[in-house]
Amino acid sequence: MAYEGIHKAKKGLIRVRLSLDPNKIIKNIEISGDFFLYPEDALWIIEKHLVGKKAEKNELLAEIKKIYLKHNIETPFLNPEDFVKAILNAVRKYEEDTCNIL
Amino acid sequence: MRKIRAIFYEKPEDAYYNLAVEEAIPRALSLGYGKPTIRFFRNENAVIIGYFQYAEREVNLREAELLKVQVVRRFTGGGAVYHDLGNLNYAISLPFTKIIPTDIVEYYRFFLKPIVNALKSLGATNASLGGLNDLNIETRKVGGTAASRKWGVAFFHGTLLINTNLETMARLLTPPLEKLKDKGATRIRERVVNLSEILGSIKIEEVVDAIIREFEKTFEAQIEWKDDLTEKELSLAEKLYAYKYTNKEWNYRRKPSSFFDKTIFG
Repeated sequence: MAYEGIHKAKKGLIRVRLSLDPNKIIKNIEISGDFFLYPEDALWIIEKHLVGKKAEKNELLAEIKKIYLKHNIETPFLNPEDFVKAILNAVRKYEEDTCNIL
Repeated sequence: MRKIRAIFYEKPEDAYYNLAVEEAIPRALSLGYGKPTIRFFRNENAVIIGYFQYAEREVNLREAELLKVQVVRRFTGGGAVYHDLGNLNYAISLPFTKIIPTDIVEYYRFFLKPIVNALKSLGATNASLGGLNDLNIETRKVGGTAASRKWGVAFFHGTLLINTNLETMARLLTPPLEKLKDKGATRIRERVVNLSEILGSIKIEEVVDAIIREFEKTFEAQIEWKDDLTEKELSLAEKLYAYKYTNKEWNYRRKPSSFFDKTIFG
């Protein structure tokens, strides 16, 4: 099951759709939206890199920052923190859902 | 003085083709057979979504089908826009030179300023830059822009609402409330404005001329009008059209450009 999270950054709206395993490890993730990211194709590198990572604030932030550095990513008026917020908004939906089942 | 080609090259009834040409021009420049270019064009009835967007999330696809709107994705970031013949599109492809800023925010400003000046020279004295990439008249948006530095080319393009049907636009685009609220609006209609609303009736040619005049100053260039693209550019556009811009994988499934490159560029 895929869960969606939205976050409005200073520039751009980030939409995340993800699926998690029971240990909150990311199985699939798509990041879309109307932001600007340079070099553009690094977005798909971020997505790929996050698969297999735990959907937890500090780990996500560290991993995204790592990719920013490695690929010289620039996102005017938007930070790695904004991506994390959008992801965590999707994770919250997942948690609400699993709580309801339990 | 540097020379830049200007061209009004369009197939309004085929937004897929128009967007294929949009990529063919900077690609040709990067491959060594293109020319520094300012291109103008219009689409009759299309929604153009950003590189990082999914059509299904940004566009009311049922309305789009009903209104026979073509939904096409572009190779630059940013948000979805509606194009009809009342909207003028311009695109600049230049080789990188010293006058082009490297800082991304400054890069946007460099290209936006001549457009703002063009609007002012036409009488829209309240025109200004908004945020990173918007063109505003007072608090409302009259145009959007997007830039790229892909392929070693300085590329910048934008829309200009001259007398676009804003009701149709509002029917087609589905921005979440978070986005509009941030701009102090609750409906698309409160957030955008046509140039004709400010200036009364204005011809597209007048707007084009004003932009050209400002670009000549900004780029320290002599701009020469041409009637057609080169054979090589046209054949590249045909390939991009056939394999990418008419492809569902591109328009609806947010595949990266690299997914199509091998087929098109070998």
